[in-house]
Amino acid sequence: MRITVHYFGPAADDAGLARETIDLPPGVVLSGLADLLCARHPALEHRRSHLRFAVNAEYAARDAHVRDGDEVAVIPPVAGG
Amino acid sequence: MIVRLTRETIDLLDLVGRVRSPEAGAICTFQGPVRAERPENPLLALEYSAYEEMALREMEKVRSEAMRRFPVTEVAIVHRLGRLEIGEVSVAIVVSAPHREAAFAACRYAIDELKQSVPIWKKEIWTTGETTWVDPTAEESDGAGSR
Repeated sequence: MRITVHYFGPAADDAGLARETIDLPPGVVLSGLADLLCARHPALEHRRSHLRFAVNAEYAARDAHVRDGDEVAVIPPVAGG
Repeated sequence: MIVRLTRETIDLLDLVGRVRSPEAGAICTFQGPVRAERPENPLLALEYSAYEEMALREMEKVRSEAMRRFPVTEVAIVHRLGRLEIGEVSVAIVVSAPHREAAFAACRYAIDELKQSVPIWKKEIWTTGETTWVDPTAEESDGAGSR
């Protein structure tokens, strides 16, 4: 299956890109995807424990399954206001 | 629109007009201007960015939850994006209610929630040319510019 990953704020700087498409085996959950993304972009690793994820523009738990066609967002600590 | 992101100056009086209602005896406003930092190495500006589609959804959730929790008439939430100089307002919350207690409480709730949940980020631009991301999880420190 294929998903699109979007990086925002400081996570985009760490990853060095704003979005990419990734092919995954079926059955991957967000915590597993986090491992994979940190392996692809080691600069993300230092903020890993503070990252949240959104699937199709809604916050999702780390045990949520990723499905084909999902838009996954890597959300570092937000700083609005 | 009562919940929005904008790249233009926030018109507070326009927002006040949008929440006015005959049954509202109180209107409470909150504005968050960009604060000057570190006189020895001053902040020049903040650059705001967002996951816009999701930020609007989350702002809408903050609005509806504020209206569910407090007896208020209307809640308006507007956030700026792009580059803001010192003193420019990055966020405005305007709440109308029959009575002031609910207006104050809902206004406070909305700004606190927005800061927790809405996917917006800001980068500090210093007069030295350095830039640093604001990280609310980092310990309060005056050494942020050294990163």
